[in-house]
Amino acid sequence: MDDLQLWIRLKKGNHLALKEIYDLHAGSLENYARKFTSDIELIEDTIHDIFVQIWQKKETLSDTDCIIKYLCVTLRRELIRRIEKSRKTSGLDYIENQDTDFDLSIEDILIQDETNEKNKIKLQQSFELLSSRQREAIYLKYYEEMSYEEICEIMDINYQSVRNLISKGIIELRKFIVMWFLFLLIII
Amino acid sequence: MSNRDLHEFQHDLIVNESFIRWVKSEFQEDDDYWSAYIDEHPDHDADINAAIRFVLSMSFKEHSSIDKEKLWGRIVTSTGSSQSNSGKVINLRSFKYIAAFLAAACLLFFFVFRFGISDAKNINTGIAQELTEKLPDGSSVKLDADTKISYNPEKWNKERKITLAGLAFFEVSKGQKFVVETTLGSVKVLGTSFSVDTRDNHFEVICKTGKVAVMKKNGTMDEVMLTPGDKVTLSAGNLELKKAGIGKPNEIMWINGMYTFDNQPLSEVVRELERQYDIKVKVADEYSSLSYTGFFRKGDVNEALYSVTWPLGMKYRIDGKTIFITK
Repeated sequence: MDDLQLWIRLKKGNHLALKEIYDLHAGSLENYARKFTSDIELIEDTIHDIFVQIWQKKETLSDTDCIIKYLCVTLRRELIRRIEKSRKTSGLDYIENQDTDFDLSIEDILIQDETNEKNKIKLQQSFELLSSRQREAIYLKYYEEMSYEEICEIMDINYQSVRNLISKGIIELRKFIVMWFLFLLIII
Repeated sequence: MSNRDLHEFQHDLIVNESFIRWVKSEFQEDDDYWSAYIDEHPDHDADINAAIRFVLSMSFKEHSSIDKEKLWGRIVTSTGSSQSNSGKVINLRSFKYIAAFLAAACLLFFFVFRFGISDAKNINTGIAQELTEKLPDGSSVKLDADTKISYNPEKWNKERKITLAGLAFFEVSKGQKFVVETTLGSVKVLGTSFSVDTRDNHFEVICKTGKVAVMKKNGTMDEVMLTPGDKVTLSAGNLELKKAGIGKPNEIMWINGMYTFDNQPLSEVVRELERQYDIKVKVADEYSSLSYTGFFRKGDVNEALYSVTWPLGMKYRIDGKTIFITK
């Protein structure tokens, strides 16, 4: 069943369709939300509210052929709104990277030298050295496999900005890999 | 090409949308384009491989801290699932259908009771035994010796869940969530193939194809995602989920044009040679089951034949497109 059909079923009031959408995408949504905050309750509440809202407004929803993209756009907007609100009330300035727990790690980056040997290096620290927007863009591209256009829509920035974020992010990562590798060579 | 240019070459591949799609789809999507691209850039094999490995390694650890079932429960409560088909009027016609349905249900129940409702189906293998069990949806489980599985065939199209104690290899057809439960952890997939080892208080999962989610079972909802070639191990003494990207080299070796064999009969090696080179290889019957461990590369047929024959103390003779392998 493709996304468009599933969405139409939902709009017609089929509660099973809502469950199917939930089963398919709740995991990805949680994963994505964790790029913004480590507050589990907030994530749960936001996902809950999104699904309830979708159900309540189902008749007036516009059509979509990519449900995960729609959900990501909604989730991102909602999360940022709530995070901003709670920061305002707690008097903290909004600083990028603060209070977020990017539970991301690039596992098993393989570097091959001329003798075909594999070296496995864990780079959790390196990934966290990227800016939060670079991490978000790279996550959407390489894990959720979104197209550049879809990432534009989700992050609400233009095409060139997305390309820059990803390009710079990859360059930084590869630099960190080489540095880490050299570091290991030195200390071994 | 300067070092910088090489890095840019790799970089352009890594950020290329089509390239990412091609790698992540296990080289299915856009394959025509990229296979041709590889052929057109023979000097860049190493760079292309490096870019492939980089994209493959961009797999992120997933942590699931949310109890999704419970959250769904909250959503159901808030949306009142009984409102799904609102405003249907029950009329006499409906009664007729309901009555017919109930009658049919009773009949079905009667038959099921008569012929027995099977609950859990248990399959065991003893020492030095091996067995493959076909599951109702076309998936299969291969049990090694001294292994026990248990599942409910009746409920299979609602829930694909198997309990395992021992060592088994699963081939799961695409469909809804498929779960393997063991005492130390559980494995969840949609459609893939993987191996699970639970012997001697050990828990190890190797992913062959597709994506596999593994969870350890001790209260925390720690979850790790495996991609092809990945292995995750959990030992009783140390309840840490370690991720090692070992897996069988064969899975990725072909990208380097390398075909590896581990104690396999010469006849299999010969078949692969014939597949990679446009040749016919003739080996006397008495030698075709000789055990070979080693590899050969694509590209140079002489080198490849040498790699295969020399370790076995044999020699080869080329006659046009036919090769004769003899002692």
